[in-house]
Amino acid sequence: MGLTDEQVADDTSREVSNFTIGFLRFATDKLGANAESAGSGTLVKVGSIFGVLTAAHVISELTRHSSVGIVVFGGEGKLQKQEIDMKETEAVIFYKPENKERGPDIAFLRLPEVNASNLRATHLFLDLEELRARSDSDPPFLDWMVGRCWRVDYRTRTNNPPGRIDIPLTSKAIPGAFGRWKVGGPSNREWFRPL
Amino acid sequence: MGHRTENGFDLFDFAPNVPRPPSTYGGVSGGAIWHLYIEQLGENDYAVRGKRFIGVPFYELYDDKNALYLVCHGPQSYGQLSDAILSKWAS
Repeated sequence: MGLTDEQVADDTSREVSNFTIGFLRFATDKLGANAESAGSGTLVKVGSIFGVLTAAHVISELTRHSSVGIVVFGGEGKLQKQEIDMKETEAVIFYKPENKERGPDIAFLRLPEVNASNLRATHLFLDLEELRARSDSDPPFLDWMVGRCWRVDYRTRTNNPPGRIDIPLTSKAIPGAFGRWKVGGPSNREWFRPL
Repeated sequence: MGHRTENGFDLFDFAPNVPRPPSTYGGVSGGAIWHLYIEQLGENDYAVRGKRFIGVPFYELYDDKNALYLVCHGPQSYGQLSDAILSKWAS
């Protein structure tokens, strides 16, 4: 028994969100603690090195702060928040901001051991070396392919007591198409066939 | 636009297909683009047979129809990043 397209969307969202994180930037104002969006990322590893794959301009902004937050999705759709001591992080960055859309703008943030250990207990890290090896092989194309751009989205609240940050979070998948794909398929909604 | 190489890094474009597009995709930066491979079992019956991470969005631009699309780094780019990570920390 297969799945309906709605179930496919839900189930795949759950699978993919397990690798996705959102960065939080903390601040305090007269209304109390608050946090705001600072970009998204994917949990990855290279050998025994664990961290986050993201855009370089995201890391560039985060390194201005002594502490940043990350949010991840736990079991049964629950969200988990962690704080990262930026002094304990290191990064590999390929970034030329003057090139804008021509890049490069990609980076790896190595997580402090305490964060990496906590996340390894509950989450999977994509293996970058395995990904690279598989990218050279033919894709396992079947009947349809869905393109999804994944991010964590959230609103901030500033009316909490100091020290308490309560952020409603949602995870969003954005369906879309690539240069060599066109819209088609059941319901003509978010499915793509090769051109 | 399809895959291309700029400044030694591979890039591709991702065109979101949403009923009510936002004014910006801010917050998407650094996120992930996935391919999800679907097998059709019946008219309204599908199964997910695989998924593959393929890139990292980092910039948004308007196309000639005034719709936003995302510029993304592709597999060769995170391959280069992987080499740099190993070079820096592997010992």
